[in-house]
Amino acid sequence: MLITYMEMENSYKITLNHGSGGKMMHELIDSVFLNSFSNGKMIQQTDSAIIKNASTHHAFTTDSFVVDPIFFPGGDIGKLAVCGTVNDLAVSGAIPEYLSCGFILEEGLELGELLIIVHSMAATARVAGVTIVTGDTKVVPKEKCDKLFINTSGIGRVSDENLELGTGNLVEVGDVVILNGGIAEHGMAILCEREGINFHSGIESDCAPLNHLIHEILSNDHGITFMRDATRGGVATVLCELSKSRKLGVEIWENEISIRENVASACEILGFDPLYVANEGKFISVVKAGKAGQVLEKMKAHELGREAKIIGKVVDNNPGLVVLETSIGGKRVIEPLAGEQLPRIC
Amino acid sequence: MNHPIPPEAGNSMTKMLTTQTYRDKKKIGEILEMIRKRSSKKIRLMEVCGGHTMAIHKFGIPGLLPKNVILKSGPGCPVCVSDQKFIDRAIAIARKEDVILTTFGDLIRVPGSTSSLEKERAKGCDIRIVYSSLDALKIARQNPEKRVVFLGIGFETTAPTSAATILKASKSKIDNFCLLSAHKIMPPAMEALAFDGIRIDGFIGPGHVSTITGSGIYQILADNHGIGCVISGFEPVDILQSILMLINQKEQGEPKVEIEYSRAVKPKGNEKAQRIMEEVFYLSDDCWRGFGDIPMSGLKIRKKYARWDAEKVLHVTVEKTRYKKGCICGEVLKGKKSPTECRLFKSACTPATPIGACMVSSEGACHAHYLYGNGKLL
Amino acid sequence: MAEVSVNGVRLEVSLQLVDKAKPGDYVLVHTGYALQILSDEDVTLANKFMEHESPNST
Repeated sequence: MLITYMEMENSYKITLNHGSGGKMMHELIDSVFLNSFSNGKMIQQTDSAIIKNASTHHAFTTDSFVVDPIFFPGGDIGKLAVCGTVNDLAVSGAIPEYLSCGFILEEGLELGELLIIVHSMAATARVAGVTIVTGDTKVVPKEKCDKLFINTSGIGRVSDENLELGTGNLVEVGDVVILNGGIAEHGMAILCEREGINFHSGIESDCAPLNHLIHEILSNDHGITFMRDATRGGVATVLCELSKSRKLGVEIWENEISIRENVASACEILGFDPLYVANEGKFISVVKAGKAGQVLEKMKAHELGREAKIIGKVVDNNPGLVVLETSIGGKRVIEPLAGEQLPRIC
Repeated sequence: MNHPIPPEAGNSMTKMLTTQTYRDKKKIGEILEMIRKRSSKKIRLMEVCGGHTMAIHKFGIPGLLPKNVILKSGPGCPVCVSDQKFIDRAIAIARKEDVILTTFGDLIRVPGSTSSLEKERAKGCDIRIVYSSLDALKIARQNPEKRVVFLGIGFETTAPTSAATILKASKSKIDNFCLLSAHKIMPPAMEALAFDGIRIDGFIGPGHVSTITGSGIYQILADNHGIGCVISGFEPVDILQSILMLINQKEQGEPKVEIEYSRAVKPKGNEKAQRIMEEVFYLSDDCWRGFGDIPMSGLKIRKKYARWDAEKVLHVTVEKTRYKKGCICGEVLKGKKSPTECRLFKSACTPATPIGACMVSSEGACHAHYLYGNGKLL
Repeated sequence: MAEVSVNGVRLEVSLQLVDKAKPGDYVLVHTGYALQILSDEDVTLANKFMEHESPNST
């Protein structure tokens, strides 16, 4: 039985673990938010809520962005705020249309920095083909927030045949798992910029709007049964959630999962498992085996999918588990991330 | 950490040491084939280095070995063997007004008697994760009005780096830096295991510890206890090759000390690092989680460097140690029980809410079992 | 201090614990310090090992 956080001792405090995308975050969501806001839409916990109407269906999502540092190789908090929401809509099978943005600014923030970030948001929105139509700004006293926080919400249209793409309900044994490129770039780019870690890794965030690529592969009779972007908690978390919710086995092959050499190296130095590290331009799609070739071909033709590969398949053994075949032919179970990964020493 | 550093392009010194050489599937297949051919008897091998625990699980090695080759994890994870008293002291120090506490990441979640560094950080203590003690020294230089404390944990691999940092603090006259030492040395714990009557046929010797110490320190285990030791590197080929060498020793009935990881480990070790370590530290009795006190197994800072010794310069009241009921970390660290035999494993004790230290560090046996689901598929 | 490169990641490490490291050397790095200059000895060891122990020769 899940003990709700309300029942816990008053001294219980939120720790950084509650935001890591792992088990503790899910417990917090379940016991605090879902408990209080309980309704059929939210309970599905998909990347976007799907609102069905007689004429058109809409996908609706929201995301908040807090990142330190606010500028990093390959992007900034503004670009991230647009991409994150656009991608949540796109992997839900929607065509993203409108975004809102809310800013919480720390007293003392340089106006120049804010301008760069807002320009970056505008530029990314143009590339993604979405319009930012409403917004809000609040300023809080110094040290009440870290430079600036951004929230974006987004809305998009979904066609009848794509309504279930974010749920996993269509996935069946025999489907294959496709990943559109190298993993762990965003998470490691951020980490290498943090104070206290003095690396020069040359790693750039993969932060990018995926909606055009996804639009390409969602043509008629596409054979795609599931999509999700592999953000916090990485590729491992997406696959664990899928296998658990559908009680199916997922097998993945380490040798087929792309990772840039410097990213792998930074992970090894810090003792991080790249499968759990955040991406901002990578998504998992599960596809009927017979359609995999076609989807892969379309992906490879797109700039953000050039390195797309089949990394595994849905199987009937080990239901509820993700099993990795290691680079040397060994096997291990991939468990959901429990908390923030920590740099280790040996 | 194990990083063969490739030379810059155009400066190719040798054809050596790319990671690929040590992860080559064909070579691994050949070694496994020889392991199957050679091993007729049941053989129990123990790794005593957290890096080995990680690598073994990460690459899925247990599932590749024949059933008669059994791998056990020993007291090789510095975080796991650090006694709860040490965490309690670190917490008490972190609570002091003018202190910045710096630590390697994996210590932050280790539960003390009533709190953890992570919880203290959430309450507002200034606790920072660093990659090197040199980073802590840098923080001290940047914050002259604060006292910067570094938590020194680790075996002979890490102890010389802490020693060198203290020497640097001394030379650069950075007096607001100090170190709380829980550094330990490995051989007394290995011997304690042998005296404890634990059934091990051989040790997969700790590669990085031995880089500093050399191979001589394990001779006593072979001579007095009949336990062989092969000092191993951290790549799959290294580990499997070491296992094969230990199987050969067992089959021939000749326990001895051998070096597989000879690209890093010289018989005499790194004598310069040994000298620096001895300059700063002296040997003292120390308490290991799960083992209790082991004579002459801990490293304390010499009087000469007392100015940089957190125990001498910071006076704190440490709460009474309260050990957790039901946690069998101690037995796990001795290789007597497997993590799955613990009733807290995966129920109350998970990496996010660890009860025992073995669940905290990614090198801990429980954490490795949790994350890599060891055994589930076998 | 010296700069080392680990497959494209560059970091500063102290050479205080090793003797006579020179540009181009492979080093073992641990928490910001080089612990040892690596030799190519066990590539040969591995090869020798394989020769002596290969299934064909037994």
